[in-house]
Amino acid sequence: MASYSTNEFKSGLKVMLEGDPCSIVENEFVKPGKGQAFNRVRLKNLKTGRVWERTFKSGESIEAADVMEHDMEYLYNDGEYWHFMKTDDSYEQLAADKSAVEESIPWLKETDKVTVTLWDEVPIAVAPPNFVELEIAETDPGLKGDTASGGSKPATLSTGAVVKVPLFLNIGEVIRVDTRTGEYQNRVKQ
Amino acid sequence: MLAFRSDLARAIRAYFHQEGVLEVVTPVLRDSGSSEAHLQNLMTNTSPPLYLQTSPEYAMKCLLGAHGASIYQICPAFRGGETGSRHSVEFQMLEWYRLGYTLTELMDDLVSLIEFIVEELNPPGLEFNTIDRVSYHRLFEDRFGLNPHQADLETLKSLAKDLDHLGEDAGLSDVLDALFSTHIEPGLEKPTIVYEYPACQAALAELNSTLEGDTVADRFELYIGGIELANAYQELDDVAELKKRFAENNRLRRELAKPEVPDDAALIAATGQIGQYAGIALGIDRLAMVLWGADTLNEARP
Repeated sequence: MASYSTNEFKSGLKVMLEGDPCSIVENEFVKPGKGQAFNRVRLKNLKTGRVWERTFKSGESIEAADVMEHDMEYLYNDGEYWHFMKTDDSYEQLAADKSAVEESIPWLKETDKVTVTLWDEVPIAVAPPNFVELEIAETDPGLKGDTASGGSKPATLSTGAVVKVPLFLNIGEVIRVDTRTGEYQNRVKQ
Repeated sequence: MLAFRSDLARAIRAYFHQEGVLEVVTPVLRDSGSSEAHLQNLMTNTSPPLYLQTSPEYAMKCLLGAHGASIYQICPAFRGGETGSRHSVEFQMLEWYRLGYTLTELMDDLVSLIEFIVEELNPPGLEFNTIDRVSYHRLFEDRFGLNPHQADLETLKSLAKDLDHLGEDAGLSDVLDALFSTHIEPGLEKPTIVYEYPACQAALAELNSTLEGDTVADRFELYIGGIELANAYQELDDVAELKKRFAENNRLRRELAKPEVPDDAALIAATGQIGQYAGIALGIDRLAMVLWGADTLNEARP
């Protein structure tokens, strides 16, 4: 099995830690003058999304993780699996289970481009685009002309996500949302 | 940055010229290296190999012993395996020795140098008022509520639970260093001199007793912006003790399965006749980084 030494550590490197695949977020070399060197590392667990902080003795090696990221198009959900298709002309399809897509479900719209993370060929995470455009399925009626009062109300989107939107918006309108923060960005004119 | 580095070097030279300290050049290659267990010597591919200096310490001490003068040097130093935002395998060092000085006098000297440089350069990255002086004991006690010179290894390890790299076999010095560099050093934003280090971190410094009766290393460091910039010793001038320290270093090297380093015969020969003196090494790249307000060493190295 391939492995990486601490002197090869850099952000984005995929390694195994406690049985889970992780991506290195930050790596800092620490060495007091004549003291023992170590690396202070922040790693993102690719299965849970949780960020871990660890220190490694400099020179220590850890196992590499066979992790690939693919640009794919979201096709549909059959009730149990979510289906995706590669966008590289191979039209290869694969299915992800609920644990892999769970956090992205509120943002998944058919035909949108997503990034699917595969570990040992199995999908473990799906990242939606940073911005998605979704239709408002349910919200209180809009207050006409109220574009500046700064108030907000909850709106349920076509995917089921609930987002705070300005008071003037109505059912059927399409809005742009930042999926990283879950925040409303702007109304999209159709 | 090129002009800034040039101005910095000129200011350093002007300070020492004014102080009557002589500039010297010693060979970068030597037939023995540093036996410090955690320093990795770079060596030539000749037979026998020559060692690239990890600092000019041994060569300068020999020179000072032979000529009886206070000296300084600006030179490259090499330490294998040290690469990071604040580390580089090759870096520039300022090292100087003051004959007859106590460590306290050397602290005053360092403060004068920094004041002189700041006056000359008016650097963009450093707001300079004063340099605080605080003992290692005080900092440790304020952070962890205990005396680092008396705490046992198990107690210290229990404070370092979040530091996974410290294995079962971690020694006192490793645990103290790890705690200091992760929990105390980042907080030393303002220019600060830290003095009286743990006795196990004496390297080639004399040992001394504190008012509380603890044995400590007569050593200090300068921190600015949470970064270690300089390391100073009341220099050891005792042959028997020097040989003991070398032997201890090589014992630790064997334990860590690292190559042993031959004792530096020339330094041993020079030791014992020098008398009282104090010496200090200062990383010029790091100083430039702090003065310029740069985030990484590379930004300060044109």
